Amino acid sequence: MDLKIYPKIIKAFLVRDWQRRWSYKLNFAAMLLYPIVWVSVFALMGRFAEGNAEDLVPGGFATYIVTGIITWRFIRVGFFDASWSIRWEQHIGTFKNIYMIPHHLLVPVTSTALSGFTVSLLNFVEMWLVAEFVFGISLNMTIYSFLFLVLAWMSIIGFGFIIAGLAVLYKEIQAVFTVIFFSFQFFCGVFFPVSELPEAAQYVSRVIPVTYALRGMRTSMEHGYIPRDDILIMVIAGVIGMILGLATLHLCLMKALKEGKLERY
Amino acid sequence: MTIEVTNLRKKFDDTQALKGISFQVDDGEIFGLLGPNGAGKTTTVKILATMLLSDSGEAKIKGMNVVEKPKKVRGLVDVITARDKFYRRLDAYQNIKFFSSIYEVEDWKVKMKEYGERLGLEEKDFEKKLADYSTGMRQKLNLIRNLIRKTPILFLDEPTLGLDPVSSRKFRSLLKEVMEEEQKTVIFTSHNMYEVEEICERIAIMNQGEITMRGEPKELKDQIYPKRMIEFSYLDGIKKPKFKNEYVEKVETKGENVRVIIESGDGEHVHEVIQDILDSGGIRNLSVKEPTLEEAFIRHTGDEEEVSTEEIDWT
Repeated sequence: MDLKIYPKIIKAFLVRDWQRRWSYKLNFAAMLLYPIVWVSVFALMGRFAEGNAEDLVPGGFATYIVTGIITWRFIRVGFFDASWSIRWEQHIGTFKNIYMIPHHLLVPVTSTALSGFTVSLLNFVEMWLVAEFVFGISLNMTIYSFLFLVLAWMSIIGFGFIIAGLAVLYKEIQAVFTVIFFSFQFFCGVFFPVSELPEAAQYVSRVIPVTYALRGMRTSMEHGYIPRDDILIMVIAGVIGMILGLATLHLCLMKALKEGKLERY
Repeated sequence: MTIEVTNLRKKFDDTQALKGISFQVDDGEIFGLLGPNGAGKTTTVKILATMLLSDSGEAKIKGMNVVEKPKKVRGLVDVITARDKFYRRLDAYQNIKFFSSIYEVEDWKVKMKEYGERLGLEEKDFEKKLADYSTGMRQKLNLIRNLIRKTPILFLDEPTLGLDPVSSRKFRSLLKEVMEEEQKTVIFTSHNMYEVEEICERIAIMNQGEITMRGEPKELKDQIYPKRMIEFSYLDGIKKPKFKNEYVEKVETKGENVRVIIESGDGEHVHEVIQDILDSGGIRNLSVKEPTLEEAFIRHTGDEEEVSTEEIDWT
């Protein structure tokens, strides 16, 4: 197998996706502006509530909430681009031509996920700069915290593959998972500490990897190191997610191939 | 043998889409699958293109089983349908560049221009976004996408569906020309008899998941509907003459135009009837016609419609 072809395929998807994004000028502007508006709102909210939450969030509430939304957005974009990849091509009618390449379907799915990663990266830089230079909220970002963020993104991609597979068979599954994924904002400590949740809800937070991604990022920014436990959890979640993701994708594709649901031209 | 299909079966819920079909396609041959909607043509193509799994039977492309080696098979085949799409917001260059990259094609731009010239797409067309393309232009670009890829095997699944008659005819003639030049092995599916007859060297007629007949278009027509038709018109003001010939099965008239159906395609019979018609005098525009594949097909599938014509008075 000639591995050299994969970077070329990935590059083709990246170029295509950025050309497509650029072709919708208003959407492109919104893609750039939305994270700035988001980080501004939460930075102001954090500063407003700064004094009231000092016991709960020693580093300052503004830093706490801005770290939360930056990490959250980074993970969310990666998850959605991976999960939407196949369904989107089916929806616009280009799936057959993507499928006809002599490689596993995982290649275009991963390429689309990586394309989403570049958007995550751009939004991350924007939000970081606005927080740091407009609102004076120092995030103490180091290369380790950035690497941990990438690890967190990777740990969630496998779960994106699960949805990508299910979406081939069940066209509306995306809506269900959108609701579930957004509920993670409540459970995982994006806007407030998990310790503030009702006790029953805290049990739920403990089994969601995003909780540990956020905790690791905050520790990294506050103390300059990443707890080994959080790295381990991210790696384990990533491996489990990837195994489940690949298995689900495979099973769903096989079922779709049997039932004729893969390509309905 | 490039394509070998043996006893292929496929069932969707309660519908048996394929009931054990078998056929073979030679290298460089243009093979037609002809049949009404729901006959199983698209199901067959999808199985061969690794987009669908059969319940039983075997399909091989260049000796490779499509189930066992799907990725290798996809490297050899391509499918063109009328519903194929591109990225609407990207121009033709951007679209073809993307697909060429993922199909691992070098020199895509040179090839694109070359095929564009032949298919009637100019450079300025390639700069247009796909959203501004007509259906005919999109289908031409679709063909260019495949030709650049240069797969030795091509499945054309009702590729002219939705095209107007003029575009459809142009597209067909381009297809035939290019397929023959490129020496591609082609399976062409359609419910349109004219295009199958025009393009294909050999045809299998499918109906309700089965291949009911196969052969060259002419053979099939002779087998199903071995008739010949003589058509002519009476000269203005000439009283319709009477003639009789034992080989004439039916005579249909519409105004001054007459169609004589002869019960057998035998040359001597045809000659004899022509002589009788000529002897009766006062005629013009005489021609001998074979039945079209459509007439043969309609007769074969049993959906023959009554032609409302005035029968000539023999007595």
